[in-house]
Amino acid sequence: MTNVAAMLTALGDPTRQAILDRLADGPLAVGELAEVLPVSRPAVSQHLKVLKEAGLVTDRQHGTRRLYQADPGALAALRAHLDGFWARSMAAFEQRVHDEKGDQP
Amino acid sequence: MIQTVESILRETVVDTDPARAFEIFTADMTSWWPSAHHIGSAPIERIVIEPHRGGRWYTRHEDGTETSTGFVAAWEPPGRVVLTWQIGADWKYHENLVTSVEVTFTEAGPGRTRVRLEHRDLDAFGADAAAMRGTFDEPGAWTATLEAYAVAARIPTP
Repeated sequence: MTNVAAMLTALGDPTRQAILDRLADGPLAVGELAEVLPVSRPAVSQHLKVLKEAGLVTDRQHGTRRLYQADPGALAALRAHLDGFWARSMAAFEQRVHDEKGDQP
Repeated sequence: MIQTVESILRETVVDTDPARAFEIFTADMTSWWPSAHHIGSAPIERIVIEPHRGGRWYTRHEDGTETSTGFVAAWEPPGRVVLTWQIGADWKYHENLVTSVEVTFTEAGPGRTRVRLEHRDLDAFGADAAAMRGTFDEPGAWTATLEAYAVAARIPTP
């Protein structure tokens, strides 16, 4: 529960949403994010810390820079979930049409 | 934004004409939509797709409450319907989170219809996806609902 609550809290802030939007296009460093957003570099760092703790972004060292990116595993999990969701829904739809056909004289 | 999450594609061929397939899919969604597939506080009473562009797609629950799924973005019976899917990682409706579900119905021989479903614009979920994964991991949350559904689905219909 704690984990989910932390994620939802992290997502509730408009600046963090903006940061995540930027990171969806590819990995960026703190300075690059601060350049394109109307917030200071220390503020960006603070938001990134919250996002990272919530499991929404990951970071890695690239030479002298630390790059942040949205967690790609999370997107894959979402897609897999929806894929299963529609597989079940479409199978149920197919069955419904089939049953109607069977009811006909 | 670059499309990083591939659309979901599902296709099936059913034994009825496109007009009837369209009607069952939209006007009679309650009759086939898996009963576990809802985000409300009580079981599904009725699923409604208002039959016009801009119409609502929502679910009325047995306790009298309603939950929204999205809106009708294109209404072109019997060939095509586009619905928005605006349910986020927190299993709530979001005005600003817009993904699209396009369904086409094309004749595939006499009395047969190819139904193709595409759920696209999934990038709109963005990092919400991480929260979604967290939700799956919760014991007793969606995973358990799906397991219950899988059990129910194995019971043969009379």
